[in-house]
Amino acid sequence: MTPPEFERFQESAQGSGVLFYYAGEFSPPVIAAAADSLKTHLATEDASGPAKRKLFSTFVEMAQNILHYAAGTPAADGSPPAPRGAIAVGRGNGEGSAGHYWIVCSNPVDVDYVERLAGKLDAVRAMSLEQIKQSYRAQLRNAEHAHTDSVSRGAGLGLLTIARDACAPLEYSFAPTADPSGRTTLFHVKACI
Amino acid sequence: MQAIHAERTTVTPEIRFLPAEHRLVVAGECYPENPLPFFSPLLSTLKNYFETHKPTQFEAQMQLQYINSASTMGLRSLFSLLNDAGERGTDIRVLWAYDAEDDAIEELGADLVEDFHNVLLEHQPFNG
Repeated sequence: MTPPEFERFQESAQGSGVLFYYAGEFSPPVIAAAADSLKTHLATEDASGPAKRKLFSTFVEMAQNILHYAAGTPAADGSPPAPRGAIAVGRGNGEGSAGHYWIVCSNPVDVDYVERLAGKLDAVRAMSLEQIKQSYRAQLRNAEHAHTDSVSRGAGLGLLTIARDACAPLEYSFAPTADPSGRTTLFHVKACI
Repeated sequence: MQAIHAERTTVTPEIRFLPAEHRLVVAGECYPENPLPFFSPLLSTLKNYFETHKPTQFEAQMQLQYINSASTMGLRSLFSLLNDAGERGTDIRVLWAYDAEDDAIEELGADLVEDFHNVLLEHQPFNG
């Protein structure tokens, strides 16, 4: 990237209201450092305490989801793939989004999980806030589920936590990845706070 | 019975378990990526304590600013254990302190004790 290209990259980020952006490997120390950096930044933002708490919570849930579910290619020596993904936080500046924050993340997922993920997202998107809270309570009571479902550790509580704090239904999409095997697709989720 | 004192870290709260005073204090933020290493030792110590000491009363002071979804499962297990002790005759009080502006933590307290009739939860909102 040339310096003028980098300048345009930064201008574009600024134009979209980006406050924080990370792309790369996700690990517990990386997430802890990123969360801490975001928290420091939020302290200077002119937003209510609950809005900051919701933004921070959504960031942690999304980042930890990437850590647990991002699909990758195993290393040449057969060791498990390092989860990779991207996450960005910003302030809305368009019509209707001013005064709100947005947070968006993406990570590759196995194509076999697309239907299951879309089903979960669609179900949560259709719920009212009261239904989200009810479903959250039911999942919390049903803690045993975490041990019987190896695909969805945590019983979808993370997704419900994100949905509960969002001011609009979650948006999601799947996009092709550069993965030549065609086994993965890029999963995006966006929450507005 | 050995007391526990774990300092607060970036992702885990301070823990003080004072068996002589029949008291547990949890204060801070809790968002470890994997909550098991944090909750397991505490849960097994408490289980052992209730089984061997059968205290007449026990108080848990909880003041959490933020907790991730994975850790709420650990908290639910903690409340379940307190409820079991309550069922065996211990008078269980949980002081649930939270920022008065923060309805998520306020509601979490109520969600955690749902169906646990042997745990008395006292809400303690404070102005942060």
